[in-house]
Amino acid sequence: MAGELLKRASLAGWSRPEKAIAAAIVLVTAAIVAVLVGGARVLPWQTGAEVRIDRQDQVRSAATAGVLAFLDVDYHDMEARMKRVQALSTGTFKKEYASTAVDLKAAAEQAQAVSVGTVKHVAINRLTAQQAIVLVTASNVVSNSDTAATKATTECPHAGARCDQYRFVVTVSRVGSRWLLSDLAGVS
Amino acid sequence: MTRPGPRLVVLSSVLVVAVATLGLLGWRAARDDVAPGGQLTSSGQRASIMAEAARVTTLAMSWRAASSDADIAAAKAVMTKRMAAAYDATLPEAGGRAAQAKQKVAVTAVVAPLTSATSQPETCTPQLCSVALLSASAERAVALLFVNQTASATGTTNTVVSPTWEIVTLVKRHGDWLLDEMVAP
Repeated sequence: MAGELLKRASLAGWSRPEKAIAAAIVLVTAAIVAVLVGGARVLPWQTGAEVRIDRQDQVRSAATAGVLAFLDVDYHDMEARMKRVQALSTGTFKKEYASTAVDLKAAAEQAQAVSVGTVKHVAINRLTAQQAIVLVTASNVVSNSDTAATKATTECPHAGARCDQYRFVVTVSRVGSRWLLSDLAGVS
Repeated sequence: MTRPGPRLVVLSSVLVVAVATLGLLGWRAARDDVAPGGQLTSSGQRASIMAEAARVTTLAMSWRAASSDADIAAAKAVMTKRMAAAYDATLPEAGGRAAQAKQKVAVTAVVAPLTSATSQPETCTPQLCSVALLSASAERAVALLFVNQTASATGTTNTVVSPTWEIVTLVKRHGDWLLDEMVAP
């Protein structure tokens, strides 16, 4: 009895095409189970939803990097910082920033300004293949010639500095394979 | 030419059905707007959640002393029990509301326009207002909103405008999005 079962299970007596089709059925069934359990994740190609999630991550990174670069000021070395902002931006924003660069550098040096920003939240309002609108909240610690006598408080525990909070609407545009800052507006 | 045996015919039929099933499942998974991990990626679904986030946030953050009972009831109608309990703790004492009603104390919250060129819309949509999503699944969404709150009362010449942001968590209950948590900076 057991020998008979083993004989059947070993497909003895099956022709070569029958064995090949049986093997294919096993493989396809395993693939069906994988798709049922794992969903789109197990597909050998990237789905539309996965592409959009990747795009969201890229847009968040670009917006974060752009805002941090924009808030990064140090009168000792403005050139490198301004170059970084320009490298991360495009379009109207890049042109406008470039046109104010000389004044910005002079103002930072005159005020002996140092500013370090922290991005707190990055949320996506709208996203297409070429452009995204993102809301960004950020805090900024600024020290300059006017803040030297400022005392630390609970809200701003940095002696000699001022703490600011910003609400930004950031537009990020796709240029080639990169996402770059194309507009940055503070919301009052 | 010999005819294929019955076993070969059955196996071939099973294989065709299995391949068709796999193709259908793969096609459906590829077309799904829900990414692995449950995040919604459809712009329509996301826009609808953002509009709802704006609506319930302004309801929860607005308050007129003259119609406080109705305003509180309207706000609680869009909240989970957990959020309603937290909301109660922020309300003025019931005893003081009559005096505030005489002074016509009112707190009005609006979601800031998305651009300076946009005037304050009556109804907020993500195209017009500063609302965006940090995450969104079919049952839970977290939104960021830029909110401007205005406080006013008779006898005062100045209204106080407080720009702030809110992180709100919405949860789906019986088909409706309810406010489950609000966090300000």
